[in-house]
Amino acid sequence: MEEAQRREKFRILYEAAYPRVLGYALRRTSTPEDAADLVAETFLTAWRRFEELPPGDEARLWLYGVAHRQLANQRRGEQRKSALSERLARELEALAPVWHDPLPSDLTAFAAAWQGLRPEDREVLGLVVWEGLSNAELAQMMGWSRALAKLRVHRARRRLAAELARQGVEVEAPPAVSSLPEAAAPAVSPVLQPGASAGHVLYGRAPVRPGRERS
Amino acid sequence: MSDRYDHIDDAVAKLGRAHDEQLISLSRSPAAQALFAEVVTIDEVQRATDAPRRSPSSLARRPRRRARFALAAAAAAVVAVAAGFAFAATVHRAPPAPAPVAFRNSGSYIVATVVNPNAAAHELQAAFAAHNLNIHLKLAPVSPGMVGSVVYMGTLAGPSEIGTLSSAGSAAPGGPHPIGLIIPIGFGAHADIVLGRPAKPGEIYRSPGGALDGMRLLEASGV
Repeated sequence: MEEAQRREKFRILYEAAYPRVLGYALRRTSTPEDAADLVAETFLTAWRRFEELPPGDEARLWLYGVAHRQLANQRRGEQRKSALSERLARELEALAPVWHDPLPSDLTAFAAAWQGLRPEDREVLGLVVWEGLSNAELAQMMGWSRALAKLRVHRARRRLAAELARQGVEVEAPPAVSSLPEAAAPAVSPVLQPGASAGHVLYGRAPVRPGRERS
Repeated sequence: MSDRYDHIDDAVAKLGRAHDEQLISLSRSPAAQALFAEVVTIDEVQRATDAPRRSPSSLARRPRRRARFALAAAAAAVVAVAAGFAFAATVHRAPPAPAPVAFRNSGSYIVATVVNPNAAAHELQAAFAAHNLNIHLKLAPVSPGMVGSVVYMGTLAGPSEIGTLSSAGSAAPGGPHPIGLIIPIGFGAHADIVLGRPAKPGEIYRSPGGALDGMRLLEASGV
C-alpha cells in the first residue's frame, strides 16, 4: 500500500476509534499522563501493525485488545513513558471532573467494593458495561470461547455482589432517569460543556449499553 | 441470568465517568491531531536519523552520545547542502548568514531541523519559504523537558499532519532535545507553529497550558 494511502486509511480509523480508545483509557487510569500514554501506545501499535487490523467493527475489538495489553503493562510498571503523549496529557488535564471530582456520595461505598474486586473481574465487567461488549465480542477480543466469556462475566458479577454483601453495601434498582437528581444525571444526551478555564467539562449519565447480552 | 445483576451493572456504569459519545469532538482536537501526525511519522523520522526501530520511550533511553552523533550528522549533512544553496543564491551578499533550519528529504517527508534556536521568526519563516513551505515557525523559551515540543500548532486548511522531532523520541533524558518538524511532502497549507527552545538565563518559561494563552504571551513578548 502506498504510504500516503496507508496514512489516509489510518486517519479514518484513528478518528473513528479515537473516542472509544480515549474513553477506555479515561475509565481505567488515574492520571492524564497514564491515559495519554495508553492512547498513544495503542495507536502507535495500530499504525505499526495496520495491515493486521481486521475490517469493520472487528477493528474496534482489536484496538481494545491492544489497549487491554498496554494497560496490563502499565499496571505492572512496564509501560514506558511515551514521548508521543505529552501534549495529549496536557489536553486531558482539562477533563478535570474525570480526575478530581469526588464521586456522588451514593456511589462511594459501591466504588470501594468495586476496588475490592480483582483487576481481571473489573476489566471484564468494564468491557461489558462501559464498552458495551457482548459476550461474543468479549470472547473474540480476549481469545476466549463464548462459553468462557459468559462464565467470566457471570463470575465477575457474582463476586462483585458478594463483595457488596461483605461490605454491607446495598444497591437498589435505579429509579427512572427522569426522577434522578440533577447532580447524578445532568444529561442524557452527549454533553461537552466548554469550561471557563478548564477546557471541556465532562460529566454525565451512564451511557446506554448497546449490544449487552442477557446471559 | 443477568437480570438479578442489572442494578449492579447500572452502578458500575456510573463509575465510568468518561463517556465515549462525549469524547467524539476530541478526535479532532489539536492534541489528537498532533498525536496522529507523530504516530504516522515516528518510524520515518527514526529511520531518517539512522536510529534502530524501537518504541519512542525506549528511544529515550538511547545513549546520549549516539543520539547526538546521529542528529549532528544528519544536521551537518543538510546544513552543508543548504549552505551551498544559500551561497549560490546570495553570492553577491557577504557574509552569508548561517541557515537557521536544516532541511532533509526523507521519503515522503521533509525533516526540518532548527540548527539555530536563537534565530528570529522572520529568518525561520524565510527558511521555510525557500523550500516552498508556508510555515510560520516561532520559538519560545520553555523548561528543559519541553524543548522541541509544540507550544502551539494551527493550520488554516485542514488538520495538520506535521509532527515534531521531539515527539519522535530522538533525545535521551537530560540530553539535547532536537527542535524541528516533520512535514509531509506536498504539504501546502499555511501553518502557524510555536516550538519550545531552551530558555536563556533570566528568561521566563512560556507555559504551553493553553494554546491561545501561549500565543498571547508570545506575541506580547515579541517572540
